[in-house]
Amino acid sequence: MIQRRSRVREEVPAASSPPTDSESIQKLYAENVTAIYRFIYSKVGNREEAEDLTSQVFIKAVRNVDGTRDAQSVQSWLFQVARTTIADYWRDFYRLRTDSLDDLLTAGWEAAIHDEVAQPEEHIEQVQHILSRLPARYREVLTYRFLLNYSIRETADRMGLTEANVKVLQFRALKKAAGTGEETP
Amino acid sequence: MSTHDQTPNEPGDELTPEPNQLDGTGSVERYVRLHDYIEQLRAEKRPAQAGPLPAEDADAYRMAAFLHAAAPGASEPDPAFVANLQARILGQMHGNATPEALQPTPQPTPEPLREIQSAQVASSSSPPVALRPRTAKKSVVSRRSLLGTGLGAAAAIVGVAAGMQIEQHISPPPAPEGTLVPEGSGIWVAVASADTIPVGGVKRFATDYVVGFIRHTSEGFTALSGICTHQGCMLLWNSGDRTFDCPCHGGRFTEQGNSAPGSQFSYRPLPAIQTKVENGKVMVYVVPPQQTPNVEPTATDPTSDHSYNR
Repeated sequence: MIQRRSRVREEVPAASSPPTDSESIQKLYAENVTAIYRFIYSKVGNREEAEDLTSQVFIKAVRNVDGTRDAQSVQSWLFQVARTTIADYWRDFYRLRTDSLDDLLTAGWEAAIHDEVAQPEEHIEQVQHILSRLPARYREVLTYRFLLNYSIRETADRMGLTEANVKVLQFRALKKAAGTGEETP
Repeated sequence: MSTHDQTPNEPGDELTPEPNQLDGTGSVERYVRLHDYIEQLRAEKRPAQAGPLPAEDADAYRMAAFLHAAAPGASEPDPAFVANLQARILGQMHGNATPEALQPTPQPTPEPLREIQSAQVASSSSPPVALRPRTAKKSVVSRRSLLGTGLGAAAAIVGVAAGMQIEQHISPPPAPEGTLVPEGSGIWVAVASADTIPVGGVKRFATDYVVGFIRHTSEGFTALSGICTHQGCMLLWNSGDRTFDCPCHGGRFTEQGNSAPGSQFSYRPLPAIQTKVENGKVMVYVVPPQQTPNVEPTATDPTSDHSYNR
């Protein structure tokens, strides 16, 4: 965790530098919007929030991007802006009892689960890894609910449980999966 | 409520509520709150604030978001959102940004589940399980999710759960989608004089929030989005090969808007834009300028064709 904090602190967006022209901004946007959106969506899991946060990231980027950086450096910087934006979102969403954004970043809230998910294939692989390490019953309920998009009732029917029990089981399965995820390299 | 008996098969997996804990919040309430959160994710809606939560519950919430986002095609940005945000950013660069620019964009309307066909993915004799598209996505996303890599990836995940068999949702092959701007949600904007585009001609246009191309065919005027469906780059009209070429990653589209043969990848078709001719002007049906309510909608750069020859 300490290592993560060091990296975060080093990459926190810097003050604005030479402004870029319209063409450069369009290029930056075109090359990164999908990756940034996917990254954010993988964290917040809903389209409304993902679009809102993606918008915030690029609005910030236009104001602060350093036009002298190369494309790779700009992309790394954009991801850092995204992480900070997501961390702020989590803090607000969970009303965390932290005094500052630094505390949040230190705790790894912005990326404790699955850093750098920008490609759907990587996301799928990580999910596959998580599920593979779960007990069968947990794996089953999460597969029905999240990958196959079954309702509570349908999941209950498939698994031979009551709806209340499915809610309990998915709660425990998610907690277990989150624990598993933290062990993921 | 189902009357099935529970049959937990994991150590410590008795599915009974736990005693009250964590700030006096009962465990039943915690299950219900998480369930409500998940249902909001499934609707692709912004969940109500969850907190304050104990850290272990917060991890479960974030895992729910992560798993929900893994379904095939789920994480693809809506092309209309990509185009809209691009326009907002460019507007900001030119001093037109307003605080409203940071507000969420309008959400797509739900679509019904599609018919499915069976296809065995994992060897099993278990009852079939349907792999479903998300119901709160635009069709352009969920269709895509069920074609190409998405389905294979989902099958790989589902295969993890031993003994499962899934049914695939198979949609028709990609074809030009519906219109970029649904009926009733846009405005008509004049972008060119009809007599300036001969039959066979293609002309680029740009309104406040939409960039596209007008085509004059033997059947009349049509229009396509000018944004690459790969990563949102602006397309260029290649009058030599009569294709729309993407300068970012080499994508090519036919003049009808389909992924061109020989293109590096098979891209989704370019969304169509409704057109009509009125008083000698070609009109397009586009996103209204919500961020600049006091500004009349305008077409910019209507005379530049932004084409190149090979």
